[in-house]
Amino acid sequence: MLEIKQLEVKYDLISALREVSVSASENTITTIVGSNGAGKTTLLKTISGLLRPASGEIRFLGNRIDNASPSKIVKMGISQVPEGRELFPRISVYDNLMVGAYLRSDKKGINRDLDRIYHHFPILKDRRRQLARNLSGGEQQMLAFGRALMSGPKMLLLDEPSIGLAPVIEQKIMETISNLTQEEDVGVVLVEQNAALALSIASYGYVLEQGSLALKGPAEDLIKDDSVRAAYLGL
Amino acid sequence: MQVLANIIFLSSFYVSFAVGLALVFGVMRTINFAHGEFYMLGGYALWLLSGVLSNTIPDGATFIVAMLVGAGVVGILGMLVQLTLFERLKEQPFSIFMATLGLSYVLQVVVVKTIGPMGRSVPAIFPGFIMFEGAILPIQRIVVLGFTALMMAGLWYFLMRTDLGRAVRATAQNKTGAMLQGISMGKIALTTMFVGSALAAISGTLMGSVLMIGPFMGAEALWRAFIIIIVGGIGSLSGTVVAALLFGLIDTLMTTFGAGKFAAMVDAIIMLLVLSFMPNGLLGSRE
Amino acid sequence: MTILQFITSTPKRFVYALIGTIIATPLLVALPHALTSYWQSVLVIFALNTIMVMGYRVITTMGGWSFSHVATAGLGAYTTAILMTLETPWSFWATLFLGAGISGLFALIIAYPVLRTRHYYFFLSTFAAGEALRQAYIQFKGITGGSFGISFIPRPEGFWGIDFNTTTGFYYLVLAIALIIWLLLYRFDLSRVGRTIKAVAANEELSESIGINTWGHRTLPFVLGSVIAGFAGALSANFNGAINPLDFGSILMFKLVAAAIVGGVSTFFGPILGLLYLTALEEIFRAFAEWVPLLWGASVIAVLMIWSGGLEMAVLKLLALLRPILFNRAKNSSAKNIG
Repeated sequence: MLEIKQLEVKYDLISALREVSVSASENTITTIVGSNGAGKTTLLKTISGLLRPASGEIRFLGNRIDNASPSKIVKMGISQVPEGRELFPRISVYDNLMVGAYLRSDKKGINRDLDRIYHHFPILKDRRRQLARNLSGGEQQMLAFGRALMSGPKMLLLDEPSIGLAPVIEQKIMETISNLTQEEDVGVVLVEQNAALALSIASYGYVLEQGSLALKGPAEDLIKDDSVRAAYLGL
Repeated sequence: MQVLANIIFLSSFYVSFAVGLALVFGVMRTINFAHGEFYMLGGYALWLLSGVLSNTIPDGATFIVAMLVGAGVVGILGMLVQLTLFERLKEQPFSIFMATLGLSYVLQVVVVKTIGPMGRSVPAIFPGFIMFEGAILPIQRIVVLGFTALMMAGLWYFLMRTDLGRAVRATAQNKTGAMLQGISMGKIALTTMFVGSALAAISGTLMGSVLMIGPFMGAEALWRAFIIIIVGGIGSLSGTVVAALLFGLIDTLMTTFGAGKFAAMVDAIIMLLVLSFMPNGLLGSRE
Repeated sequence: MTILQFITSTPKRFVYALIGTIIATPLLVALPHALTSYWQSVLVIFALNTIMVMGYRVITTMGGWSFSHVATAGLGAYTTAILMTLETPWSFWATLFLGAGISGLFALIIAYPVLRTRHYYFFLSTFAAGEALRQAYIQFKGITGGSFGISFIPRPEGFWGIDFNTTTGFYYLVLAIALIIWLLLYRFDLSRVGRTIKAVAANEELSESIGINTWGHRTLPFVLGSVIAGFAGALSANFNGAINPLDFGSILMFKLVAAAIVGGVSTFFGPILGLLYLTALEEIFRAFAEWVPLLWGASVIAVLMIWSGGLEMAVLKLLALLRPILFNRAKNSSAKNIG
């Protein structure tokens, strides 16, 4: 569904990504693991159209999207849950969700999706009138998921959803991700520093090192790979 | 009672003038120095139209037409400023600020040269007074107050109840987050400049019906608007309203007790004190 | 530090500037004799405004663009005007320094709140503070004469055979003070403190983390620039013989800001070049005086949008082009360095 070929992204003159090729398909979780500064966030920002690649191409459902505007990309069905969540702190939970549906005009569909999100995350329903900044970290992460789902995406890009959360909640977030993938009919690209966590739910994985791909393979193989275990799993 | 009425009248003026400036700041993260001139143009819209339309339609209708025409024309001017200055100087808020400062002089000069430097006034559209609890309330003032309330209600509805308004608020709070929801920054910027500029023009038309209309009326009002938005917390609309009420109260009380001429200085000192102890203003959020 | 040490520790660039100043002085002294009386007045006003922009540039080195500069200069002007029109007038020199000191004191008082703000917030808060000060000139009628201001301000007694009541004589006074201020400020700019101020402006957090007193290094240029504005204000009161609040209004303030933008502020001479440009515009279009602020505004917009860096960058680029032609050797040695 999502095909990235030979992608190169530069900040000024320095390459942040070199010759990165990644593919992700529907109804599965594809994970990209790597340490801090490996270029994971750069990759997601480029897919979402916040950064322009220097060369290479990105295709979604067969169409080139590497020069499309962020707005067009959302419209085509790619929605991102960014690092640090980037919620709108001083508007209500409900309004945050509705901003997620900004590009849609099908009132019925929006209400149906809102109900589904409230079903997945009942806490958001209880707190729908509260300001987003008053939610706990885990709740904010759920709101960020909910907001991304409100655009009715075919593919979700998740940037470090576990960061800054307590281990128990981390685990819960991962469960949520795999449930969503099955129930919501979306493909997921999950970017994580916590490789063990990410590989435990993903079906395919890539290892990004200093802007280039170091390894790729089915998640269960990567977990067993000695170099991955040594470098990312601390084993 | 008279004092209370005066406080309300003055505060409503401060609110109507400063709110557009605060809105533009909140979304664009820069100050439109030409806001005062947009307000001034709103005043001239009333003066010009009341000349042109004087014997064709009732004065009350002229007032409303002037408000709409002024808001429309100045709103489009604001969009042009967005497309030419703001868009080209993107990510350089300080340069934008300076460029609008240049623009403000350009507009002043254009008005001085085309209409003249003298102040003009429009004959009262709604003459007469109401006596209420011993206070003299000019009807014109009450009408202006009513329209200010209507304008604020309209702004509130736009920001709180429409999808576009919600997107404007979202952008003001988190630009990256907004872009990731598919909100187009160009569209939001144009919308904000239109609304902010139109608010300035409406304020100018309203005040033009009770004050002298002149090329420098905006420049004279602008620095107090700066004080209001600094004290309220830059970018916070509710803070702006609170500060406008506060200064309406202070300035009116000072006038009542015969110290009106020092109001400007007292306001500035209050601003400096607020900056000293609450650098983000009364209701501003930390950047 | 002995005088010898001071001289040997003096940066080379300052020595060149000093030599250049000494060479230029006779030209500047001869200049008014080649001019009509109208242009002599223009020259004096230009020299006064040069002092103003030199002070303004000091403030910009700490990264803030003040809008209270002209109102602050007004304190110097009013001090001189009030004290020299008393029944027993003060001496000019006492009021000059007292006026500058009061300007500096005002800056010091408002520094605490306004220096907590940055960028345009700083601009806004200084704008409001300056406007309040100007309101004070209008409202304290008993002292300041209200909107009419103060007139019949005498000029100082001449000495060395120079009569300050003539335009040329007064020009020499302003020139002497301008040259002294220019040399002192240029030396200050190259000094350790001057460089630290710019470092703080460039990265305040980093500077703070390595133990620099950032507060002091932001307050000092603000106060120093205001003191210099006070000198210019006091001199302008003497030159014009009358002052009123409009003299310290936003038109002059805009001219200074425009000079700093059009000329650029990264070099010492940038704002002066900008001032020269604006003054030239003003005189060329003298017949259309009301349009002049429009031309200034358009110039500011043009520089910001298409020609960032301003006139100073144009001059620096020109110098860089001329350098190999003028100093052939310099080119060779720099080529070697790169190799």
